[in-house]
Amino acid sequence: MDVGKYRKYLLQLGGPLIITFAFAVLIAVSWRKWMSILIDFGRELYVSWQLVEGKILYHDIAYFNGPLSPYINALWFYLFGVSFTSLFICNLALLWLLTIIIYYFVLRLSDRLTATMACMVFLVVFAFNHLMFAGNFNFVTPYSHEAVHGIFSSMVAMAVLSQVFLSQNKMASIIVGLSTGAVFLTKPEIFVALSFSLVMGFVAFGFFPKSDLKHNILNILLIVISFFLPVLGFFLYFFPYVGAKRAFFNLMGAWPHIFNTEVVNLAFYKMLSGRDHLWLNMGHMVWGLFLLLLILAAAVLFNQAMLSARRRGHPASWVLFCSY
Amino acid sequence: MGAILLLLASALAHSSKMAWLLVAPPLPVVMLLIIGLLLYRLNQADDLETAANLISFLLLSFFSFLMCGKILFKVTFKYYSAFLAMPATLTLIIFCMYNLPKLMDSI
Repeated sequence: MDVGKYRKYLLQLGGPLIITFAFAVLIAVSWRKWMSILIDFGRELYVSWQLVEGKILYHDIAYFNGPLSPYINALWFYLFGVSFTSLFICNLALLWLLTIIIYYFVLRLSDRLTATMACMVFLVVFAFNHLMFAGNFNFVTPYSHEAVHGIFSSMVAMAVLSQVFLSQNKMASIIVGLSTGAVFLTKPEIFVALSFSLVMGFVAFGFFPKSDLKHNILNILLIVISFFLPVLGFFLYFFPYVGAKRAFFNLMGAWPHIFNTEVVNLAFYKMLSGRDHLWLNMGHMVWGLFLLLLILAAAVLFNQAMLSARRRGHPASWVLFCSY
Repeated sequence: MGAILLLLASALAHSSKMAWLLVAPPLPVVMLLIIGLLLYRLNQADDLETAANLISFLLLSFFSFLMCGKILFKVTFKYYSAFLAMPATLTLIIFCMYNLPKLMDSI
């Protein structure tokens, strides 16, 4: 093997190797310290355990989100046994898959260094997040699996959609539709974000002069049809137990609560959205934006100064480099 | 000038206990700025592949902005906000590490 080819392979594998290493280290460091056994997480174990025991969601167990996540977790329990270990091992596998999807999605939009950095930030800051006294808000033992499954399916849909634009691949359209359907069965806020983004993407692509209108319409039809497949599947599953009307409202998950002002105006939701101390939070926003712009401006000016000094062969370039 | 600005930004940011968390609150505004810039660049794109890539990034930026909708005035990396702010943080990384240097080169 010649050196050039070896170097090329090393560059290609460098990012994924660093990410894999970080993933392994983060698992080792945080092993079994991900969540609080007293706060929130009990629901995630209990509901899926009861489903494996033969109970029916919404019929035997009251639940306020879409049905996808409890049934996915119940599938893990059915396949690997009812235990916390089964759940977190499967979640780690899903997390690994999500990291790969993020890597290739970001790589398509940028370069290897950016894709590696994005995955590192995702793993260190979000996937193994433990900024609070109770873990729970990470991707290994989330307080709500709907968030993880929703983000996972959204990333799949967005990563595959560029294939729909470029190659008019019908299978890609079906995957986008199925993923969007899966997101609908999780949480409303994620579905709203994904569906509006997909519509915006197709509108933007439709307006592009060189796009093929006939293929675009065919792809949209395929996405819409495949979107309804998982939704219809769950509807037909619940229908014999709760009837058509309740099955329909159950699939709506948390949607009806969005328009309930009593729920929306609860102190908890006001705190979550920042409406409890609006002006203070807006002050934080402006302050953060100012600092971010300052850092970006500094980086840009610094880069320009270095380039200009190097071009002139000025010794200041070395001083600037060292100070950097 | 750049070095002075960088020092100033560092000094200001370190007045807070967990300075790096300050990057979270302005994410919705930053997403809007990125969306505006991408729309401008999309208007200038002339081949299908560039347009498809720009639209994919635009899609991610728009998704990231809407994900911040529920926590619009209090984006943090804590609580449930950590899940909702994740796409916007990835978008910011792509923009700062890839798009911004390219933009600077083209000026």
